[in-house]
Amino acid sequence: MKWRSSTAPQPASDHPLLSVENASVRFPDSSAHKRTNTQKQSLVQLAHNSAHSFRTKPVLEDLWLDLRGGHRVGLVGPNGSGKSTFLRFLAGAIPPASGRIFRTGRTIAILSAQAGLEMNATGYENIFLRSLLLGVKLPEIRAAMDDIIEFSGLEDRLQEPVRTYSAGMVLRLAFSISTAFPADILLIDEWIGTGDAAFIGKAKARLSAMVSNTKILVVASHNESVIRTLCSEAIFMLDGRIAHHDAVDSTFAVYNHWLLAPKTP
Amino acid sequence: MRARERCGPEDDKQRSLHARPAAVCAVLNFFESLIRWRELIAVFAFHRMTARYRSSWLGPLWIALSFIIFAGGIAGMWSMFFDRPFSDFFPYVALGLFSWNLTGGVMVDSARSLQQSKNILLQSSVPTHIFPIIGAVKNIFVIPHYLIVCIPIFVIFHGEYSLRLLWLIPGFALLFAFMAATSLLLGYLGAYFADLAELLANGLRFVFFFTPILWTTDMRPGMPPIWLLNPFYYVVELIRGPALGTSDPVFIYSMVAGGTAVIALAAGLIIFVLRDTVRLRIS
Repeated sequence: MKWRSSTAPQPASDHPLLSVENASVRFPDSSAHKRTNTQKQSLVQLAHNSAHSFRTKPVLEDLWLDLRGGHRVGLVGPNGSGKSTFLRFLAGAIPPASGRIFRTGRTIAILSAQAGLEMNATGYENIFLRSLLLGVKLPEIRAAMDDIIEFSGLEDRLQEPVRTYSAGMVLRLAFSISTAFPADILLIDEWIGTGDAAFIGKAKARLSAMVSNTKILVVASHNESVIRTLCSEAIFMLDGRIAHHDAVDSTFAVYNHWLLAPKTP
Repeated sequence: MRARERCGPEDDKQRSLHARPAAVCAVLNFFESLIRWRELIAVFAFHRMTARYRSSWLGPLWIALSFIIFAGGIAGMWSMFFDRPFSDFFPYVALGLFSWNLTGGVMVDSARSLQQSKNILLQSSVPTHIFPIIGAVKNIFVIPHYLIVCIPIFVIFHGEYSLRLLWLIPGFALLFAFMAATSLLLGYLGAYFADLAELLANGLRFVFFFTPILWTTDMRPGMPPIWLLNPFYYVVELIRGPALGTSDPVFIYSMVAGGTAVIALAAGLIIFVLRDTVRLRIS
């Protein structure tokens, strides 16, 4: 078995660890057969295309990382450089094609608001469903229930299916759940995008409190001030590789230099 | 101590003390993960089960009601066609339908399970094999809905009690094992072949008529026992056989146990190879 990461979030640990050894990530290369999908296919073509669909293309390569308690890392890089994929990889949602990843301690990934929300279930049920997906046990969920309900501000709507909620309400619910439990390793993709002004203010305060209690933080953001506030070091990602990994100042120097440099196509 | 600690390469000292073959580790890890995620499995399965009668007036009664109407209606008509006593035929149809609905439900549910859970798999590290298992557990939760109908039917229309009924205890255990193994195998196959769920949903309707549920094996004396070639015959007889005495439990149970072992082995191999890469395939 290639993948030896702890596949499940574990109870709080005194020595959280997030370590990646020479890992790479490959995605199935579907471009090969999609091209001919609209055309009439002969059997030969069909066989050829099925073979193609098992081909993969590299997405992330040559990843090395060794984070222990106290590490706060910002991820910067242009769109499509692999920041989100890297976070999903660190969260354990994508297996490495080669190399290894080790994770100990409870990991909470705040990657997308809708993930794990069952649209036909009520808000109340979704608190249970989503928390369980985070690896939290039922007694802890029950203990956190009041806090989640209060923070989401959805007391009177919790008995209704989530599909009847507005986008902002879905976000509030999802955010309230994800931030209700202490994490050893916290992975955040973009620092709070939507929600009304009042909620953003509240959410920032709550997230900051969570961040200060977490032992390892990895946050991807395009916002330089966010990373400068939260992080002690930063990674500049480019074309699926770690181009630079150093203190925040040093990484931003390299990144900004790259941004201003003329690009060769 | 958890299985992973015994198996993982990260602790070389432990590894040398408790070296185990990879296959044993994989099996241990599998069962450990089921225990670790038991709450998630139970809550999701319960949610998926109640989702089908959400906000309906009769609620869970619909499952029992549609079952009794179908079994009773068919049994009533067929008993007239074939001139058989209704009191014989009704429990026969009901208990056959019981196993059929469960296994058919598991097959279709699990073939869809990984595609259905795509959003979750893209974001979280929950092991992929948990989701087909949720499909199986969901159908196990449906069992009481059928039992509140099947047990009265058995008592009222059959009403013969013997020690043979004790076979039902291993019978249900075997049925659960079969459901779990099938759900895993079809779950992973369904993630790779999106047509599988539709194929099953339609194919099973066809196979239904070739399975002795609406007909009995003794209807045409002298007919070669072609139903023995139908794997569903054994599954259906798992519960009906001991309850009504329509077959020899030893033969049926050994067939189902063997079949389940083969399916479980195939599922195990598939999980071993695809457990992680399936995340990429469905995205």
